[in-house]
Amino acid sequence: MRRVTSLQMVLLVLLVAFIVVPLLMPVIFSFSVYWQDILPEGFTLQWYERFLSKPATSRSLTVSLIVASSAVALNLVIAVPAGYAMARMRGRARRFLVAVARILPLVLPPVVVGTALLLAFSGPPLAISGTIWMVIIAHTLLGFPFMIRNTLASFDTLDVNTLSEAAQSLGANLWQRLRYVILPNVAPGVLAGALLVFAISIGEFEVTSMVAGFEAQTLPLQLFQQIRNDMRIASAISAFLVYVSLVCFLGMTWLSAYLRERRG
Amino acid sequence: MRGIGWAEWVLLAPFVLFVVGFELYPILVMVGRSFFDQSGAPTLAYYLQILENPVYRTAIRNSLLFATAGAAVGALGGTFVGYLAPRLPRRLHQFLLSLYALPLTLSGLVVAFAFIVLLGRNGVLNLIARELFDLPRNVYFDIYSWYGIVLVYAFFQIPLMTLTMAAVFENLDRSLIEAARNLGARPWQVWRHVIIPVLAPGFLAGLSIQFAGLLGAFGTVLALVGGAKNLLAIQIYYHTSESTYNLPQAAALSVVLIGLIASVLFLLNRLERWARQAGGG
Amino acid sequence: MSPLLEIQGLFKRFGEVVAVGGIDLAVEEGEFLSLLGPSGCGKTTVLRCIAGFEAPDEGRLVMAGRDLARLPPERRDVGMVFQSYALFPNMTVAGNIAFPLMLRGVEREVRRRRVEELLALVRLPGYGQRRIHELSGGQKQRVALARALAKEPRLLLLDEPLSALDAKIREELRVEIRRIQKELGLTAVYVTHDQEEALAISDRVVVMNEGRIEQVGTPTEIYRRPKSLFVAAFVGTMNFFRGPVRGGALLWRDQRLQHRDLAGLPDGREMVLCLRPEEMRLVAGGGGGNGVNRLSGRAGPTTFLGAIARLRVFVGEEEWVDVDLPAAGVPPLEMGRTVVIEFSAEAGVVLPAEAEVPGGRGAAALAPAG
Ligand SMILES: Nc1ncnc2c1ncn2[C@@H]1O[C@H](COP(=O)(O)OP(=O)(O)OP(=O)(O)O)[C@@H](O)[C@H]1O
Ligand SMILES: [Mg+2]
Repeated sequence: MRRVTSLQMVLLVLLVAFIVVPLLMPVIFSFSVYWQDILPEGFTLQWYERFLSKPATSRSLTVSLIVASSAVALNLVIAVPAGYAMARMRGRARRFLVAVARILPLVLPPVVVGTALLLAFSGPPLAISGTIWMVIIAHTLLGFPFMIRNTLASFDTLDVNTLSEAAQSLGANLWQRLRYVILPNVAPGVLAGALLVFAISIGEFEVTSMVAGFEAQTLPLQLFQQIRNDMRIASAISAFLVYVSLVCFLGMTWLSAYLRERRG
Repeated sequence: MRGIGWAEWVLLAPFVLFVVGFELYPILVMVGRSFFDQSGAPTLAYYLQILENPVYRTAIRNSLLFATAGAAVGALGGTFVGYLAPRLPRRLHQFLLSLYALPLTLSGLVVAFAFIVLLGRNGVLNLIARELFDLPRNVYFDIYSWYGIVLVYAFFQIPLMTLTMAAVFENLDRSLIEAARNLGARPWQVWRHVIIPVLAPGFLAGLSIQFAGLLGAFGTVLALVGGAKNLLAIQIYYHTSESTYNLPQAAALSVVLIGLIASVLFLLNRLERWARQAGGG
Repeated sequence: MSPLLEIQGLFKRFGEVVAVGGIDLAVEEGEFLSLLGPSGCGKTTVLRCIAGFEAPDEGRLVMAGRDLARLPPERRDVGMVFQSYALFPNMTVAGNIAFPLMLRGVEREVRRRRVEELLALVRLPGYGQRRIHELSGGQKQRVALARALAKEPRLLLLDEPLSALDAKIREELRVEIRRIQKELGLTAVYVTHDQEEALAISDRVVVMNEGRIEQVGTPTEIYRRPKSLFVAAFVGTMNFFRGPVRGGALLWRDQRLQHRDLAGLPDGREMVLCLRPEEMRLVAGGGGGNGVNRLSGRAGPTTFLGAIARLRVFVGEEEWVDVDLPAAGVPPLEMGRTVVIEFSAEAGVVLPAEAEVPGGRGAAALAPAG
């Protein structure tokens, strides 16, 4: 291993701090009674209490949880079978589909997706703009590049075709092959994808703010208002979102460690 | 068993239906709407607007500048950390990469909040600087300036680039370098013929993601400065909201944005091919 | 007794590529049959057709009197062992072996006992609770074998099961496979591109080339009496002498090589005389041996092979002959020294020179003289 010079080390520490320090800000703020000077003062849980007791914000928490869970569920139904199919395919068809899943989200930024959804679903045949359905669909859409990528990655470390054939030669029908061989092996990767989709959905602001009506006020939409109105409630919501991200990442780290251990 | 059989089609069906129904169809509707006025007559007025109205032209220019600056910062920082990470002890390396994966899912609003607390007019760092250097009240780092916004976006961009580059550097086969040295290549020749061609595709792919993301970025900007900064994405956003409601104009601007992103991706893709060939030649 | 498996006119193409170009073969009950051939000759495809993973374009597969065409892989009475082991990483060793039994609803206790029996059979007793990644390659393949045997198939298919293992383990395991096959009276079809392995393990060997069968025979027949130049060149080391027949002998360079099978062949016909290195001798000091054929040349390098040493003798600028010498007590020959080799008129086989020999194994002498 090559040495790391001390100048490089200092820069590295700064760059790590650049990520860690901002992450701590909402957390510290949310537990402080008062933070106007350099150091925060006091310890309190009242901002969290307010966040949870204020009807608008507590309702938005429920909405966000419903939306995120639905986006995960939809992704499981849509992206996992697709990932499985892609893993079984070769050559041009597979390359095309992978490219679609990879490039579409790049060339279609959230603001464009939001505009397009708004235009397409404000009237017949499907007038769902402004409803929670629209938000769920938007979040599913935003999540599935990640879901597909994770699913494909876990299928790729697995020789799906050979394992399927082995199971088949041992007498397993299609259902049994999926149930006992394929799914248990991809479950950790799929679960990691699900966590990612969940975390993205919980924090999504851009598209949501464009397509959500009054009944689909998610947590980030409330946060947006509170940043202007009341930094203390905003801090509690922000901190909560940091926790969700953290938990999802701990989960993913744990899953990948588990996978590494199992593969040896 | 290979290729696309009926089983693959069945499994792909939900995906294809969803992408077509909720991604391609809306985009087509949007592109269509940008060519018709409110009464339904075909028109190019919305595109002419973009060409003629200085507000839109400035927005496009600002977006390109902002994306370039943000991508440059991200590329520099990310390449640096990505280069160092594999040299760190294994655990530290893994911890660093896990930490850097966090911003990937973090809400842009949370980041805006954090930087307001940290670097707002009375932000912690500005207060500390004021104390330490005895600065007057009107001298502070302005998080609401272009510099500030680029800095905030670096919170996303540096980690994003790091994840790409760490993988690239890790895959950079040491034996390749050693073989080149053994064959008599000088250090600069090793860079020119071995290292850069290996790094270039990953680097440019990372850069593409940076550009694409930054050209369409608006959430954090909106949280920091509202509509005060004129970006293409912000223009689109404001045309879809109540006060300046003009959906066909938003659609036309969206088409321009897609075109912009696609052009940048195309250029970077060309560059990548060129870099690959230059390495081989 | 009718064969366990009959392959009739099997034909399979992938797009433009003809993988299997019409094969007829009968696999007898209880025999160990190897499919041997170079990479890409269609061995795997034949095996996959038998297992049901590929549908033949033409031809029939009849197993124990039953046409297999409409039977999906999971309902065929065959077990399969894969080159890549294909063990399920989510299950333990015991879980893998018990898998086919579980699918059939065999009771837990019976399953457990059967797993133990099978582990003992493949000499891995007590390994049941191990995870797959904790096993070595050889152990993995033993588990895969036990798993394939668990459902007691009538036919066992093995696709290069040993080619991912190193030489030592490979030899050890092939003896084991053979032992188990005999012990259980199994019928096995074994695919390999390793000719030594095929000869060592099989009752009969099927040599394939470009989707067709070149020869079927016992290992001795294949080695001693190859029926085509392809088989002669593919199996073992062979020296080739090619030339026209002239008066009951083969005209090679300016020599007349005698062989009993040449008598009676019309003059002018191109033939190839094929000789194994062990079928030739070095004539000590140029003195009288008893072989009717003699060639002189310059000694090239000697390769030490354990019991024997193989000497390369250059009989022309770029043509050589490999000759085996007993390794014990023979001092290495000086390179470049003139040596004389001889062989009898009964040694080797004579084949018509219709085809080129692929790969040209050790056989620059195959080029027509002049
Ligand atoms: N699924 C497939 N799609 C297209 N071509 C195939 C497929 N399977 C086999 N082939 C082709 O058919 C021919 C025979 O392949 P096969 O795998 O049966 O050869 P093999 O004798 O097993 O070779 P090896 O020793 O390399 O395993 C090859 O030319 C191969 O490229
Ligand atoms: Mg094969």
